[in-house]
Amino acid sequence: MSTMIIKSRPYGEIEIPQDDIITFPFGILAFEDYKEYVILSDNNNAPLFWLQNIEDPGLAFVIIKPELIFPEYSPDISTNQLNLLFGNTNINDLSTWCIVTIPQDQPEKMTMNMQGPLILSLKKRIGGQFISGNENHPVRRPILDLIKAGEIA
Amino acid sequence: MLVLSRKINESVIIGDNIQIMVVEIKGDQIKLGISAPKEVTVYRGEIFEAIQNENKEASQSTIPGGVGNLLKKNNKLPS
Repeated sequence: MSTMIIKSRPYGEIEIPQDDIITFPFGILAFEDYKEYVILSDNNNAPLFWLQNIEDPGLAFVIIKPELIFPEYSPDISTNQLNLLFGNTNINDLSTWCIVTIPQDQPEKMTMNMQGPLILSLKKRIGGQFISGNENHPVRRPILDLIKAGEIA
Repeated sequence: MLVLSRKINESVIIGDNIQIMVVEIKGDQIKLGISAPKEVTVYRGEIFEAIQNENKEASQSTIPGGVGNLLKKNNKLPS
């Protein structure tokens, strides 16, 4: 398996398998020009992961699998939309992730974006950000709302 | 930006197959009817902007130490 060295925001220079790269043909909203990402995991941060951009070492998102927090969450995205990106793919090959926003001064107020989930085909190594048609899926859903400030190191 | 005046029941055509019609005008609210091929996505502008803004803010996030464990504890996830 061929590997490559990339620069990452959380970990600096790291080596990744080339096959780990996920292409976002349309980028991520507001970051349309950045198309290549890799998911980085770290036992200390689980269940949070990093979605690190390859082209710009400074561009990285914190992501989470939303079903860990809300098992019933199912974004409202048409099959047509999914087919446009993934072709005729088995829906079971797709995984849903949400981008997490962690305010620097108030990490306990972290939220996840349920309105603009990322859908990935780890098999085809492609992904994209979609918009859930369900208006009950907010852009900012608190995920640590029971935790008091000060408990976070 | 192209600006066109339209009356009720009048429409504009974008490209070959997108039609936007003024269906109703009530006070400061206008109802638009949109016919477009199914592969064309139509969203309210503010939803798009909200996600763009959120992505920009999210791209600045860092993970403080201990947050992973707190998430696990708070949401009763297996550690």
